[in-house]
Amino acid sequence: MTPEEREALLAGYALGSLSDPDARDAERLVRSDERAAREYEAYLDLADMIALSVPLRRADPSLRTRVIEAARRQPSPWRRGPDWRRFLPAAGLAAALVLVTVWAVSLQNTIGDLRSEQSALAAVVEASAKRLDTLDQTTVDAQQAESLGVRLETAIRDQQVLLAVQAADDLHIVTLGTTSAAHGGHGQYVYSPEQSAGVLLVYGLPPLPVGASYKVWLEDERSELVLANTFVPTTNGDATVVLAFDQEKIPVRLFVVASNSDGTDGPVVLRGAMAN
Amino acid sequence: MDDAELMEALGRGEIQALERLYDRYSALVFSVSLRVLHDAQLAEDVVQEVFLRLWRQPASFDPGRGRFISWLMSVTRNRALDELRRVSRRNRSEDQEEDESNPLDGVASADRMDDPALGAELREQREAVRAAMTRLPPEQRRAIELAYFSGLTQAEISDVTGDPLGTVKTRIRLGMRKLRDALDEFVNIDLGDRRDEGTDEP
Repeated sequence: MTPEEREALLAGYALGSLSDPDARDAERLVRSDERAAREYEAYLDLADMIALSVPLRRADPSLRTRVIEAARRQPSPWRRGPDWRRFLPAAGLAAALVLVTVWAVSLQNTIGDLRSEQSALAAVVEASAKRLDTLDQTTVDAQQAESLGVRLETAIRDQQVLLAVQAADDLHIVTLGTTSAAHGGHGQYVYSPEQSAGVLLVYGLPPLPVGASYKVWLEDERSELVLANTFVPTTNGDATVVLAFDQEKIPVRLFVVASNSDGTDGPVVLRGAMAN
Repeated sequence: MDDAELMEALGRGEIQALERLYDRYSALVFSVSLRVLHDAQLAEDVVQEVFLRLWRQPASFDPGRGRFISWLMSVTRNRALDELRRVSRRNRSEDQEEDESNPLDGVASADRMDDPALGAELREQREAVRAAMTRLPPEQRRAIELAYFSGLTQAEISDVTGDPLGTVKTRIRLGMRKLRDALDEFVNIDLGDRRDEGTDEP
């Protein structure tokens, strides 16, 4: 690649004007070359200065009142302390699945009380899910019950990780950097090396085509990439994603990639570096 | 209070901080949105969304990662482009006739006086950026503006302008380089060796 080609790639990438293949080339360059990464950051800053060239226009003065009133109706989440609501969807799913599974299992009279400690619940559900497929169901489809059981197990495990990460003494928070493909989306990664786990919180990610999802890649010190999870955000572009990693291969970088409908990787949307 | 201090105050839930940020930057956010969308109503929607996002998620701005104004412009542009794409899809699907009315009708210009709320530093930056953009050869400026404000890819710009893709790439590269040279006092630019100046057109 000539210096001109390299410069064109980085400048075009900062402007968000590259085709997908060129954007992937640019992303690879930025990831593999520290100097290119610095150049790209500088071009990003420069690109956003272009916005300052617009002639100034004033909005309707009543807009100020509307914005401030709307804000007053939505108290700042930081004033309320920890926003536990972001974990409610997972908790709600787990609770609903607990009820469904308990009901299904009770039909077969094979498992007694599921209202035991949370740590025991996952094992019970796993066992029940394995047994359900051999039972002659009358009111619950066996396959559906098994699927619910597996989902329940996953939800519970995720919740346990969430709780463990939140309670960890070595909690780290990384504000993720955005690329032009994020289109205003952003995110944070909260992780605990001690727990070998983390939670990715993303907001406002752009919608994906049907069948596509976001992939979360974790890169360790030896530049080995591991696909840690995939997710489809809500209609608002928000998601809470639990990630687990090998304690022997503590990640040093994280990438959120928009995958294409065929499963191939699209552009990097968010990325962050962890200081372990 | 500077921008970072106001964002910290937002984190403490102080609505006055949002009011001050709005007074300082709303004209700029609105103007950028209007430049992208060419529709005052849609631009106002973007303004509301951007400032409510500041309110709801003040921690999404990290002072360690750059200047507030760059981040705010990035958020504004991206939200406006998202809206532009959404509206474009809808218009295509409904096969609507193009609105021939002037999108800026009824929108008050604040440009002659600029905006005192922006502060001297930002006014100086604006003047420098506008001067630098004006000094660009028209075809380079147009290519950059189509990329930045219309969200077009280089291939799409090539389709719009009728110029070969390679020419579009060169124009963007040279235009960005000239902007970089003109604005390096305002941007934290660390681009290493600048001796390879290249040619002006293919």
